[in-house]
Amino acid sequence: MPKSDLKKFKLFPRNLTARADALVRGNPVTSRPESGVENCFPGLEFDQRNIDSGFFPGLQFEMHHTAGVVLRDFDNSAPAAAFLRRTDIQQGIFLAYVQGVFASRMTTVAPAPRVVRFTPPAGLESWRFVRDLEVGEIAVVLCDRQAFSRVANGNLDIDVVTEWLKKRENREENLPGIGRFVLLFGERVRFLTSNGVIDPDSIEPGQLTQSLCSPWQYDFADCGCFYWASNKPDLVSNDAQPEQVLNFQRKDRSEGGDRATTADDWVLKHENLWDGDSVIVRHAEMLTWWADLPFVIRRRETDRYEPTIVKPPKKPLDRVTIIDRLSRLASVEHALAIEYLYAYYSLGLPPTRPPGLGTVQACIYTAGTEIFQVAIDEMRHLRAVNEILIELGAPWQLDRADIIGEDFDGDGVAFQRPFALRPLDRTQLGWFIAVEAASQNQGDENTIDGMYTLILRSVAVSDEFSADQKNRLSALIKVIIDEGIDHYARFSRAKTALAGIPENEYLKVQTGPETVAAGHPDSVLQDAADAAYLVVLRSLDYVFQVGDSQRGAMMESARRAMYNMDDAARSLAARSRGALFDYRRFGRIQMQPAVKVGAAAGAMAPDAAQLRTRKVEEAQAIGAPLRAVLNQLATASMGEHVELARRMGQRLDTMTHAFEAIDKGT
Amino acid sequence: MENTTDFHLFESEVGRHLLVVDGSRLYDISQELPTDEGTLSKLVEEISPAGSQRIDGTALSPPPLQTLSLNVAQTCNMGCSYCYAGQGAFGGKPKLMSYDVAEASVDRLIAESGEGADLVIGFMGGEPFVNRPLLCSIMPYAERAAAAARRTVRFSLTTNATLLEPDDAKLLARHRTQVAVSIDGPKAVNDAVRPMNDGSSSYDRLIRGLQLFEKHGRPYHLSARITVTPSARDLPGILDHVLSLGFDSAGFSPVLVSLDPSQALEQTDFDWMLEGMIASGQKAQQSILAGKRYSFSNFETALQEIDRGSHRPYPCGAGAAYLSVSADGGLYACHRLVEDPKHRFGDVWSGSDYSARASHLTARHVDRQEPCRSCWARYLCGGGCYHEVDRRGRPACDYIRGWLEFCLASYVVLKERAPDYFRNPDLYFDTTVAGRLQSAYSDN
Repeated sequence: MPKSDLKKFKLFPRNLTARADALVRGNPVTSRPESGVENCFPGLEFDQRNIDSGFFPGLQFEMHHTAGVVLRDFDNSAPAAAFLRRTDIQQGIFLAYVQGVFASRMTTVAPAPRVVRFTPPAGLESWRFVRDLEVGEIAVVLCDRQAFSRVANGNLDIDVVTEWLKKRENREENLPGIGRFVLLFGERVRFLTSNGVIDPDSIEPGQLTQSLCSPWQYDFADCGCFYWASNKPDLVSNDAQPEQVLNFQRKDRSEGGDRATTADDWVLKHENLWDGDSVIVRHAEMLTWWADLPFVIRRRETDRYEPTIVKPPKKPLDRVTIIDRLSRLASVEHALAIEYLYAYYSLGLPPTRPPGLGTVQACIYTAGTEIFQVAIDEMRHLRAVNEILIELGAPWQLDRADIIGEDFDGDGVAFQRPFALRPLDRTQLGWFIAVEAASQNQGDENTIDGMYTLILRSVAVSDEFSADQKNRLSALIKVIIDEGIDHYARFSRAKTALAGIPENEYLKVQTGPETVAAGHPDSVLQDAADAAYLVVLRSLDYVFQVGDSQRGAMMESARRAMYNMDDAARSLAARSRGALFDYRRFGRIQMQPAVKVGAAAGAMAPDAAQLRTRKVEEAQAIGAPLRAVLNQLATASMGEHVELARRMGQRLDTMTHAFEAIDKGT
Repeated sequence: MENTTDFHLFESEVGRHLLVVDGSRLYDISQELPTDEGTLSKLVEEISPAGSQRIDGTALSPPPLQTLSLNVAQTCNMGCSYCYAGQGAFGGKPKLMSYDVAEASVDRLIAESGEGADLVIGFMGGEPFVNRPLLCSIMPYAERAAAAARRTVRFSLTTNATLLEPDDAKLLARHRTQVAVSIDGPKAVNDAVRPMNDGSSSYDRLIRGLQLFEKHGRPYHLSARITVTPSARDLPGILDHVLSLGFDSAGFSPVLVSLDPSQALEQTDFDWMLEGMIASGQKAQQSILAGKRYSFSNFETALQEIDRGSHRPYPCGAGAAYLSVSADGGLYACHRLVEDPKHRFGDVWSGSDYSARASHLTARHVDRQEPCRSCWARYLCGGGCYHEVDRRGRPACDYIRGWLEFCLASYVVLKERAPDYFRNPDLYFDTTVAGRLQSAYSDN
């Protein structure tokens, strides 16, 4: 039988795997608005909640709160007006129960009305129930905040409410010890025409989209941190409290008001409140109070914007000196990143925050997060400085400085210390604070930020750079300076968080790096961490060889190498060991150029296949030191080591494949 | 044309259906479609083209651990005639697990599990409550350790319920435990095969245990495990009785391997067993259509798996994400294979033996088993329990296919007439879902 003959027979996929195979082209013509995805966030055509908020005649609800569905307004001509006053709304009227036929929740063919309790977690959950509510007779039961919390606590048996609703008459019911309830009966509001499209008569102009994709509107409040459509700053600081974390939407805007030392602490502080309702500016309030919310520039609330004026330096640096300084700064950024990382791993922390607020574990976690963030900043700076060097046509610098701090101006006074890996004990934290505090003094060119500032000013007045180059260089240097600014505050917060906890209680690794004897299972782990470290540096080296246009994508692949180093260092820390961070014992960063294919034949240019082979060899060579160690790790007796080897191997493969596919323009 | 390696054709009250073996995909096909092998093979080839199979014979690499069962007491206070473990001691001396071993087991499970995993720790025996102090101390430890490692942990426990004390019921209720109680039927039936060590009735003690649950706290899920032996053949009657005792669900498991061979089912016994299973399944199907709970777990599990289109080349997770710990800390493929040197996969201190697990999974892939590799039911059955296959072979294949055939047809009927059951059985039966939805019908 030819294949096409089969087409005329119907095949109906019955179970889930069969249905997953079926190709569906778009929505069927029978789709209705409420059959859309349960998502009202930006990017969709309209916000279904704007329709459903008026599901009961004469009442307007707001369904965005996880604390419950709240009444926002009522018609003076509606029956509700006989039982409610405007002041009641201000104090909070909640929707406690709804009675009706809930379409997709029917368990029998005959539609049966049922009573559903609308208690937290509400928000989208309650909205789904309303969306399911079929047209026909419905009833709502309203109550004040206090009664609602008793309902939520299960103090009112639903059978009592069901019994009330049998007498279909708008009225009040009072239950001693629980509170006052308003019972209202009506028809579920229809918003579709008989053709199944939205009835223009039932919707006001703008109502469908009023909460979508507009600054200061509902979804602005809905947006989670860093959601694409959002530029809401979430957590900020201000001039009065530069080291405190403040919620951008806090209601208490007094000086010394609602604050915390870390972002996580702020969130946890209000964790037990109903959706932070009483402390946060919410949807409806944001529409009213939009003007009270200040501008935020560089994560700081302010009422003015002052462009940075770069003052010309007294003794500007020339191009050659700038390159020399940047090269040395790169090696210092590298050294600092590793010192911070070692200190961070010495805490042996889980990758995510432990539950609870103010517990010892939570405090240690807070401290760790701050240190880790700074380490990540320094790693980003290492890349940025090298990008600048490349922009200037100079060789990039990936080596690590042996001395941190330089006497650049040669006056014999400088903030210097040999590079040293130590756990995050008080001495080390003190050094971190000192180095970042000194750096804040941007007028002193012996400090790191001071040198960046001098370079920035020198570039601005130099005639050795094109206007275009000046723009790009300034942008990169400003990023580095800006990010350095809060390091001092971050380390200070870490110190506060650890205050009072004995070092031996919070340190999982209590010493500097100590080499584990060969043959011990942990020895291979240390090898894995160092080999991974070398692969990180080699990957960076490789990526810097690639043209500007592809570097971003390659950097993303190179990040796998970083995850591998992180994974190995964490595994060591879990076993109370420090990583050695000695990449040199596995080889050099700069690899010998691959043997030129056809070089012996003289001037013949390599053909495409040879080039391809060379690329594959180069990409493989980057990961070679780690691959050898992973092979050892994979044969370890411990399942967790095998699992680690598997994870690291996968990442290495992904990275290597990406590098093999690279077009270096050779 | 009904049985081939790649598809299975069957009929139900709703019509004619095709199970595509790869991916356990289930289709209704029209009555006009010719059912000769050529046509159907062609159809199946369109659905599942060569080269894009979901199961292609590749063995599973050992995944991170998710479940560990702890044989906390390799001894028992009962003397069941059919016990595969020989009063819990697995042919060795009675042993109790020490706290150190249990703690190392928990640490091991966490160390070899994936980030953020939902872990399950099972307590087996023997009879776990022989080692009550260990249970009391290890459950809180496991919860703390899991939380510190950002994992969640649940517990399961298989017990004969005869040693239960009020505090035990509270313990199990407090620590979110799925409890399986072994019971074989009404008093006479049960006591004939499940006597206490001194020969006295275990039924009376078991009932007392169940009452303690009612009084002092019900576990998260309370199921009954009914062992089928040649002597008790009235499966529907037994199931009715057991469910009447208030279990959340109950299911059957036939004895294939017993230290006393007369207690194990012979090939011919599977005829009446299948009849009994189908009779109970039909009753469960009618109950679902009527919106009433009658939780026959073999049937309900089959329905859910068929709906999801589960297709696995292994019968269970043994040696994969599941391992079992013997009283002295050895890691074994499963709780039945404890003390079996061929299935020892490391120990809790040095870790699981990855390469041994890998070779186990390679050797046990159902596509490498005979006669499984040409059976249409292979990805639903997985090739049979390792413990039973190694000792008895595969005497029950016709029974398994017969049961699956019934479940497939029954599934289609229920999916057609009670689709909400598959969306959420709890909501379907109108019970409270974790306290979220308190609802009631009113009669206005």
